[in-house]
Amino acid sequence: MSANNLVIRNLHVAVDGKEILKGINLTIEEGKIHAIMGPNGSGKSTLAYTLAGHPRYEVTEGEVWYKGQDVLDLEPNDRSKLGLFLAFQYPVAVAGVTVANFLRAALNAHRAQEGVDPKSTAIPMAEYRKVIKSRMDMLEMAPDFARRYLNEGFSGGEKKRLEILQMAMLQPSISIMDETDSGLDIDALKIVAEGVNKVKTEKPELGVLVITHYQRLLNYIKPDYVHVLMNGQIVREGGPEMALELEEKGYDFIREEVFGNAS
Amino acid sequence: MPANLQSTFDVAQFEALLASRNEPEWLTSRRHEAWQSFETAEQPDWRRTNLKGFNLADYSVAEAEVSVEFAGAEGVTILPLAEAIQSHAELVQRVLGSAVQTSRDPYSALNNALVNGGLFIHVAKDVAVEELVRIRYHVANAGTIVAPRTLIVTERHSSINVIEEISSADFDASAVVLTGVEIEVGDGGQVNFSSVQILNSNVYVLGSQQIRINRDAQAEWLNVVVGSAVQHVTLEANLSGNGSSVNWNGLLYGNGKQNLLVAPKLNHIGLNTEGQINFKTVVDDEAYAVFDGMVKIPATGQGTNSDLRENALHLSKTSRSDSIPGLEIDANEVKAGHGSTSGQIDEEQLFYLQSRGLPFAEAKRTIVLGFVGEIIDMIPDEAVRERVETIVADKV
Ligand SMILES: Nc1ncnc2c1ncn2[C@@H]1O[C@H](COP(=O)(O)OP(=O)(O)OP(=O)(O)O)[C@@H](O)[C@H]1O
Ligand SMILES: [Mg+2]
Repeated sequence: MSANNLVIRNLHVAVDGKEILKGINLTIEEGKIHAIMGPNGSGKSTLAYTLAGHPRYEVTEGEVWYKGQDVLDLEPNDRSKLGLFLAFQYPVAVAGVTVANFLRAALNAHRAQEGVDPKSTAIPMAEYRKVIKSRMDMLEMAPDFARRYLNEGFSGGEKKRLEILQMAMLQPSISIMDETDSGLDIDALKIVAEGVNKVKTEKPELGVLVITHYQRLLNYIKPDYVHVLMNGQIVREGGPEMALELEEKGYDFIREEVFGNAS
Repeated sequence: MPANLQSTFDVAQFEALLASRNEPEWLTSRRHEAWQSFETAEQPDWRRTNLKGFNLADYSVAEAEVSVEFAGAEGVTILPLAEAIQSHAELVQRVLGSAVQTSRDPYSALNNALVNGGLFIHVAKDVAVEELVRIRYHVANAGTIVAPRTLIVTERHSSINVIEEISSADFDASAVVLTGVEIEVGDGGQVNFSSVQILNSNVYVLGSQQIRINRDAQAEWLNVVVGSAVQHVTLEANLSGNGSSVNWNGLLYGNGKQNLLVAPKLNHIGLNTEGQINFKTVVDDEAYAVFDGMVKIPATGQGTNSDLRENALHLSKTSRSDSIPGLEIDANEVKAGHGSTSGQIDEEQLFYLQSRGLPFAEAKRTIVLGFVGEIIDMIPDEAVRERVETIVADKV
């Protein structure tokens, strides 16, 4: 198995002492697109946050490996530098910090090397301006967007677009997208999905984990695998056809099969 | 500190100051009045200002170094206060003492007894001054007590933009600055006034500022306080004229053992006035900051539109801040909102920035600089802004 797969083994996670994830086994393969679907409260965001290293989520058992590294041992920023990216379900606003300045700081943090003067590795301003402009054009974002404060007063759709802009700038090798489609109208959904696909074309080794409730997004970002998360466990796995089946039938039939009742 | 302040400050210093000047009778008698008030007043009951170890006997009267940067313009008069006392006696007599009120507390009384140095700015009617007026009071030596005063009077339909910076040399012992800013905005005019306090962390600052805003006039007021050991400054915006307005922003940033207090009072005296207050506070280490705000809408203030915001950020467990946003409304047709928050750096913000690759310390710094940046960006002079940014960057 490639070291460039992200491997999750028997992952148990608790929040405030309550177990939410109950033994997740999942491998996100290099260059593949995985979709996770599941009812509200099943633990999808918990999995996403845990992989990104949110301090509130306590791993009680299990392991996560990526590129030969024990991911759970790393600080959130080191996970980012390792190539992990999380597009948040609810992006956070930070007043006084412009999109442009923040993204430059993030890029420079990625370029920084231990024991090397960060000035010497920082991206030159002219180059940075070119990169951010081309990425914003790709996502059809107006130039003044870069001067606004991070998510401050952004519409739901603008926030999601900014998440994808960040992904396009940071060029991760694993991207977890937590309900990036929610809050987007049809046109925006198309632009965002195309943006993701372009990043993927530029970087074919990118592994993607798409968390969604809707088949709609999966028409644009075509999954290789679909996983169903229910009650903190992966209870089903299949190909893209499974998303269609879920859309049609809902989760009850799986719930019935797995837990023996439909409630 | 002794209850009787008289014993703490040598009357000979006051007498020497008087003897060294050749001032008009009205001023001399005001100084005497103020001195008497100082001598007889009781120590004020300031529970939020720590004057332990502060003794006026440790200081001798001096003048702050004054500098003015302004190319000059038709209709604008800028004079040392000592000259204006002679040349613009009537105006000075009217405005001097409007903010620094002898009856307020003994330090205000002492301020009026000792007022020395300072500037007088006058703008004739219908004159719009484009260039920023930069003034600076600098305390050169430890062990001194200075009392510079800034007076600004604008006639109707005129406008001016002034920044006042109060700074000091980097000495280790302490000094005292008795500050005073007294501004009158003429009908239909506009004054933008920024006060920036970057004194070293051993200096005491006691004082008052007031802006009186007349009919249909506007003021933009900025108070940035990042320096000093202890500051206790009363701020007052009087929306005296009908249709007057003020947009008022401020920042207090304390670390180490700094104890910084501002007491902004917003008085909606006229009809249909508008006032917005937006202050930010950051405290770190063992610093203690106080926002003692008050919005008053008397019965005359129908049609008032008022809003007060204060947000405090605590960066350490041992830092403290108090926010006391008072509201007194005696008119019935008004809009008055207020809100204040205080708390630590938001964990979700920290995680969000870290998840993009910023190390913890840089993420924290980014959030704090963003929080204060909204206010610092309003400083109209680049050099002053850079000095404040350097101080703040050192603190974070
Ligand atoms: N910070 C938290 N504090 C308390 N409970 C939490 C917290 N985060 C998650 N939970 C609980 O964990 C469970 C899983 O939540 P999670 O957000 O992972 O669900 P989800 O599958 O992403 O749901 P949705 O589809 O609504 O986004 C829920 O019962 C939720 O209430
Ligand atoms: Mg979720």
